[in-house]
Amino acid sequence: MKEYKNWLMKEHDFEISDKTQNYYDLVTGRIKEDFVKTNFWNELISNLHEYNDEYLLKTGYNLLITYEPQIHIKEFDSFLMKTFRKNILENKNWPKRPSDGWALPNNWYSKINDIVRTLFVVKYLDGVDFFVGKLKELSDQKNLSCNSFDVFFEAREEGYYAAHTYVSHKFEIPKIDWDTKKINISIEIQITTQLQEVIRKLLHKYYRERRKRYKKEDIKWQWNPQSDEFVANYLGHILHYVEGMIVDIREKQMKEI
Amino acid sequence: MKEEQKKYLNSVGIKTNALIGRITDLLELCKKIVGEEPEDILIGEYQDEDGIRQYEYIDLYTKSYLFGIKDFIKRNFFLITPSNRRIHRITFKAENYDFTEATTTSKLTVGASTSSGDLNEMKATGSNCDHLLKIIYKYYKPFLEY
Repeated sequence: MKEYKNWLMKEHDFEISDKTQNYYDLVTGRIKEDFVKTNFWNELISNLHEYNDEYLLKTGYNLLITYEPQIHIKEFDSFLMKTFRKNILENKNWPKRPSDGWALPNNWYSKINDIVRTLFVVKYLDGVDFFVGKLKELSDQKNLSCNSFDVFFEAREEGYYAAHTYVSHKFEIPKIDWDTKKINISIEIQITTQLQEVIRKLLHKYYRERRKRYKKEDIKWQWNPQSDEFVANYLGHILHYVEGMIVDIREKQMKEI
Repeated sequence: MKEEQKKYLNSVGIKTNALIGRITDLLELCKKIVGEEPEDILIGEYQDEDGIRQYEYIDLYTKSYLFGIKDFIKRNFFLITPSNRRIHRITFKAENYDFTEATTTSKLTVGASTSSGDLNEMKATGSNCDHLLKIIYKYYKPFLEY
């Protein structure tokens, strides 16, 4: 990260300092504060029981684990690491700018789409798609001022399965000179299953360390049963398979009824 | 759906359009099959280990019939019995309930068996215990016969 900070200074005349982090904390705190006041968020929270009961009527089972999702702010170090991955590690045009442009202080709050995020945990695998559908419907409502809605059904080699949805709104954030500006910022809403959430919590520390590593390993993890990745990653895949089987059995039971 | 029926459903946690809609459909079905408007509703339910109500069945009481649907969330499997059938015995099992006013921890299970040996077991928790007791007094106790 020291080299990345030097690169930012040398190539883009930007110094990462305590002031940068303080400003980040101020902006992201404001985004979170304003997001919970949006019509979109309030409508979503008030609709959760309705979504649950629609799913209940459809499948005979409850949709959600909890009706009180927490909203999290990405830590500054993780945020900076993400800009590093975007600008350098995953930049196919390196040393030229990435195809969608550099993530720099003048635009990185708009470019990084998971600075503020929340998580919904559903009981069953098909609940993920169901809930994504509800979010899409909600984002389409004109009175809720969503500028855009995107969804990515993540199915990663590392055994990570979740839907990542992004709703963007215009937020007014403070500028460095204490004036304000309005920019489009995406809020990430993750949806995952109960079992995947258990795995995430168990392996969270491991995933975080792995994201910090940027040196490729010599042996592929799939051929290295002694590696940490082997157990963790396959556990994620196995659980996803098991969750698929659970839905299949549940559907067969419904048909028998 | 009558206002007091809706109020009752809200009191047992049935508030969403999805579930109210489902029960409205069942009320219409009952009226279509037995030819009478349901006067009273009883939701049979219990609370799971997380304190969440699990709905087991719905009983619709018309003037002459009991229209019961087990597992009403998922199924349309119902039975009809005449409301003036002879009740042989009524059993009560209560927990944290004084038969006057229920609390949030009250539980009541009532079994009503007919002279032909059929048993109707009804369960309620919280304020639903008071409602279940009213149903017993109105639709079961008057038909207790030796």
